Amino acid sequence: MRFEAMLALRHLTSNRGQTALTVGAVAVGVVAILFIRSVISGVQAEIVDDLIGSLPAIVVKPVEKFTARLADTDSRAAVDVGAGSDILVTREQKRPQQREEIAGFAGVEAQLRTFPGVRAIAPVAQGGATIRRGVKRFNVSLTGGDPAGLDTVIGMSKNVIAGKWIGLAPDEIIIGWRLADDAGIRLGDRVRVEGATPNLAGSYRVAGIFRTGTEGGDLGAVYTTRRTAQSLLGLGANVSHLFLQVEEPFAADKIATRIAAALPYKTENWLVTNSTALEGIQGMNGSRDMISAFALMASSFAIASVLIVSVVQKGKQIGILKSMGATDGQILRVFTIEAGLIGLTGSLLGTAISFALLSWLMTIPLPPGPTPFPKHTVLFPITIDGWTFTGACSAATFATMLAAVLPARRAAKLNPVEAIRG
Amino acid sequence: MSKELLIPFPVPPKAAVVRTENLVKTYGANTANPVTVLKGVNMEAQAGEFVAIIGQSGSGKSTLLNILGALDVPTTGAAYIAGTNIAALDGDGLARLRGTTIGFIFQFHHLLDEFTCLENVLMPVTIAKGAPTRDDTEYAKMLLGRVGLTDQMHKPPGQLSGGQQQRGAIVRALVNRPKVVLADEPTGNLDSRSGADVFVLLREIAKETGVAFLMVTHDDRLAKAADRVLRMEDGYLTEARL
Ligand SMILES: Nc1ncnc2c1ncn2[C@@H]1O[C@H](COP(=O)(O)OP(=O)(O)OP(=O)(O)O)[C@@H](O)[C@H]1O
Ligand SMILES: [Mg+2]
Repeated sequence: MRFEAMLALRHLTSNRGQTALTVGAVAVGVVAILFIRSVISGVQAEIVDDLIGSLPAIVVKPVEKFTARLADTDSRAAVDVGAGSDILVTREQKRPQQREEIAGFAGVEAQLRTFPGVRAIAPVAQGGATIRRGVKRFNVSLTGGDPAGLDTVIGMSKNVIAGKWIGLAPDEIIIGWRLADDAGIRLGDRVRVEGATPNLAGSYRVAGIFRTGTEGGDLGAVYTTRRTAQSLLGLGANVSHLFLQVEEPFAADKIATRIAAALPYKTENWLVTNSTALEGIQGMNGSRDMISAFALMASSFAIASVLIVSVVQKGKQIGILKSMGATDGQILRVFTIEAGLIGLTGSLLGTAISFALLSWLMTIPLPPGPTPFPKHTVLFPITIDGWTFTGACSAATFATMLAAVLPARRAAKLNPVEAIRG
Repeated sequence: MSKELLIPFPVPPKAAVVRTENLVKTYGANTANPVTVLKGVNMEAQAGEFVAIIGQSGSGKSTLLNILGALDVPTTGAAYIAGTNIAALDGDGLARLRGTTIGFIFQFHHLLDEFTCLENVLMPVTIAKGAPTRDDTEYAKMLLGRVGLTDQMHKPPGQLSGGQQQRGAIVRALVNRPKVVLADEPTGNLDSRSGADVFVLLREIAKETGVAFLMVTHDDRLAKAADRVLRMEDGYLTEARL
C-alpha cells in the first residue's frame, strides 16, 4: 500500500493543474449540496418553528358525549383510517347545548406528565367569543391559560409586539394586530367581550397586541387568563383542553396515540392538523435530494472524464510499472487512492468555502416586505449542521471514488506490451 | 569500485536461467487471418552469458523477449525463467516473476517524470516492498556510481542526456538483483557513440552481476561482441555466425 499511496500522491503533486481541476469539481459539488441543504433545512426549521412555536404539539380534549365509533354501530361501513385514528362518526345530532369539559384537570395533568416525551402541559379554557366595538362585532376564539404556562407550550410572549402577556390581570386580554387594526382598538382600550351566552360578558382592557403571522391568529384569536376564560365560557372550574408540548415534534403523533389509548380523552396532534404544510416540507426534501444527487453526479462525471484522460496519458508509465512487477491490483489501488485523496481534499475545501459562504449569507438582513410586523430578520434562514457537512463530505468522497472505478479498472487491465509500444 | 561488490548472489555456472521448448506465438488466433510469429523457438541462456538476438524487422524478436519477460504468454510451448514455466502462471504470478527475477531495458528509457533518477531506479524494489530498504538504496547508489550517474541521481530524468537516461534505465533493470535481463534494442535510440558506451557498460555489468543477458539489436558490430548470437528467422531462432 505504501507504493500505491506514494505514487498516487506523486501523480497529484506533479500534475498540479489537473489536481486543482478535479479538487475544484468536488468542492463545487460539495458547496452546491451544502448550500441547498443548509438553506432548505433553515427554511424548514423556520416553518416548523413557526408552526410548533405557536401551536401545541398535542391537544387533549374530552370525547363528545352521545357519540359512537361508526365501527361499533355498523361494521360494514367502518373506514380504516390508520392506527390511532380518532375520527368519530356519530349518528346522533350533537346536542347544541352540550359543552365539552375536562373536570379535575390537575389530576389529568399529573397523568399526562407520566408519558415519556411530554415536555410541557398547559390546561386551557377555549371557546367562541365575540368582541364588541360599538356596532361592530368580531367573532373570535378565546383562549385562557396561565400566561407563564401557556408560554412553555405555544410561546405567546415572543409574539407580543406591544404591551404584555406575562402578568396579565384578570380583567385584561391580548389581541392580534390585525384585529386591533380592523376594529380600531389601541393598546389600553377597553372592549366588551361576550362569552358563551350574552349574559356571560364583561369589559376588558387590551393589555397586549401580538402577531403570529397567520390569519387565524392575528385576526381571530384573543388570549386571556384561565379564570377569565373559564367564567366567560361558563366552564366553572373545568377546562376545555390540555395543550401539550413534546421533546421531539415529529414524534407527536406517536405520543398522541399512546395518550388516547391510555386515557379516556381524544387527542389531536400538529402533524395531522398541519399536514398541508408538512407535505410541502416533504416536497422540499424531495427536490433537495434531487439537486444534491445531480450535483454529485455532475462532479463525478467531471472527475471520471479527467481520470480517464489521465489514465490514457499515463499508459506508458502503467506499462513500465507492470514490467517492473506492479500487479493489476496495485495499479487499481493507485488510481483509487488518487480519487480518494481528490475527493477528501475537495470535500474539505468545499466545506470551508460553504462555511464561509453560509456564514456570510446568514448575516444578510431581510429587506422590508408587505407586512408591518415581519416575524423574521434575515433573508436566508440557514441551518449549519455538522451532520449535513459530514454527510456531504462522505457522499462526495464516495462519489469521487465511484467515478474512479472505471478509469482505475482500465488502468489495471492495460496490456503492458501494448502500453509500452503505444 | 571493486568488482566483487557487484556480484550479489554468485550464480552457479552453466545453470540455464532461460530455456524455451517449442515456443509458439500466434497473434489473432481467433480471427480470419492468424499470424504465427514464433513457430517453435528452442533456446537456452546460462547465468553470466551475454546473448545477442538479431533478425529482420518484424521477425518476432520483441515478441520473444516479451514472452521471456513474462509480459506476454506463449500460445503453446514452454518458457522457463529460473526454473519457472511462465505459461503456468496467472497475472499476479507473472507480475511477481517480473518483479523478482527479470530486469527489462527498452529502446526508450521510460523513466518516470514524477521521480528523481534515484527514485526511478529504486522503483522495482518500491513496487515489491512498499519502500526500498537501506540496503537497496546503497546498492542503487553503487550501481549509479558504476554507470557514472552519481552526480545526476537527484535530478529528474528530464534533466539527463539520452545516454544518461538509458544508463539510469540499466540500473533500474538491475536493482532488484534479477537472474535475467532482457534488453530490446537498448541502444536503438542513441547516437552511435553513446550507443557504443552503453553497450560496453551493459556487457561489463552483465559479467559482474552474473545475470543471463539477452539483447536484441540491429547493430551487427555490437552483436559480434556478444558471447553468442542468435538469429530470428521465419519464426525460428538459430545460432548465427557473424
Ligand atoms: N499484438 C499484436 N497483434 C498482432 N500482430 C502483432 C502483435 N504484436 C506483433 N505483431 C506482429 O508480429 C510480428 C513480429 O513483431 P515483433 O514486434 O516481435 O517484431 P520485431 O522482430 O521486434 O521487429 P522490430 O525489429 O521492428 O522491432 C510483426 O509482424 C508484427 O506485426
Ligand atoms: Mg522489436
